[in-house]
Amino acid sequence: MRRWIILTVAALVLVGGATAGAFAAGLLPFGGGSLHGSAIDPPLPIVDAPLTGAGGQEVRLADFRGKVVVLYFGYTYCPDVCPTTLANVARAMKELGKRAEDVQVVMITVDPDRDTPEITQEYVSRFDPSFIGLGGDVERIREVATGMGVYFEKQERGSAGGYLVDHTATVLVLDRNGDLRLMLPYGLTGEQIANDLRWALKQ
Amino acid sequence: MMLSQVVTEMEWMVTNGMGWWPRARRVAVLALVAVLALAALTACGGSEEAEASGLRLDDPWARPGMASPGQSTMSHGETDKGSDHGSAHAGQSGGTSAIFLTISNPGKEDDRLVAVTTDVAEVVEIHRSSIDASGVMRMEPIDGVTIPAGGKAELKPGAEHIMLIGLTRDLEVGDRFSATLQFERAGEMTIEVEVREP
Repeated sequence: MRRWIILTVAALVLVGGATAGAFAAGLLPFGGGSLHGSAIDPPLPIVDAPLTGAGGQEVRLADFRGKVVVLYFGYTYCPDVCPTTLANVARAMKELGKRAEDVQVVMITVDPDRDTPEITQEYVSRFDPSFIGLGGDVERIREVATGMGVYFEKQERGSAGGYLVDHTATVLVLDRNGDLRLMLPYGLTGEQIANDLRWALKQ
Repeated sequence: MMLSQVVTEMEWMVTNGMGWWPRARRVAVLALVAVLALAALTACGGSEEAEASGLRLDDPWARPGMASPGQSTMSHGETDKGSDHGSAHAGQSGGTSAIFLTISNPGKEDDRLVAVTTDVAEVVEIHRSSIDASGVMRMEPIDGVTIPAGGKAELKPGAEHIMLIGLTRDLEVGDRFSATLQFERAGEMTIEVEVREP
């Protein structure tokens, strides 16, 4: 009798350990704790100030409702962190295959003085032709950014290329209702981003 | 004629109890071949620059970039002519890119990368990117990068990199260009940089 109890406990510990291990390894998706980013629960309404698209038209983030929106605040002069992130997001979109049709990637420039909407659009198109680049009035951009906890500030640091812009490098994900649902820290791989986007698509 | 002579000689040695002689010679020849092959391998496999200065420069690559971002769209209208785009700084007339590589220093003294030149950019600076705890990215120009004695410096995304400002031509995936790195001790070293996606 006692032997049975010990055996049962041992079996439970084994199964439990294996399951926990599988979660940790990302083998069992969405079982809780398998997201690489941080979920926002409940989803947070955003400040949807008007921005400008490459054709000069007014664009609001609400225009993309119905799709999951992957939002990045960056600038084209940034040669390091921004392209790394955009290249990884482009990889994630490839990884999603057909489901990428329900995802819209948008970059909003934090440097509208140098990045016109056209320059921003041309820049993001190089990573994936489906990406959308937006610019516009710096104050409107700041309203949208601040509403999501994104910071950006021009800095003069003596570069021959002119000023640099410090900015939050986090990738933000809006759900199909246009609310902030997920925040992805800098440095995730394409695969990890795709994993989290699959989750966002199911919400 | 010659061969039969050798064979005869060997037969003579074997039959006269001198069998160890050719075997020793064979071993010597094999050893020599091995040493030569190893030397050839080392020469091919090592870094091109390794011998000259002691520093080793590995896997230099750069991101793709455009010489004139947005130019194609801007040329449609006259409206941008009067604006101040592109006039104040070198970097605003052309796009940017960055060179990354690993520099190893097997020597006994620290060295320092202090400057870089290349004809694909108007200005080249050494920059450092960093991300703080709240996720804010900052980039700043720095004086140089130290390559510690017996150690290495990794110039990689999200850290130190060689920033190319004002590209003079488009850098497309698969392109190659040369860049000259200036070190305090090792002097100038020229590398070939491959353009590719990270």
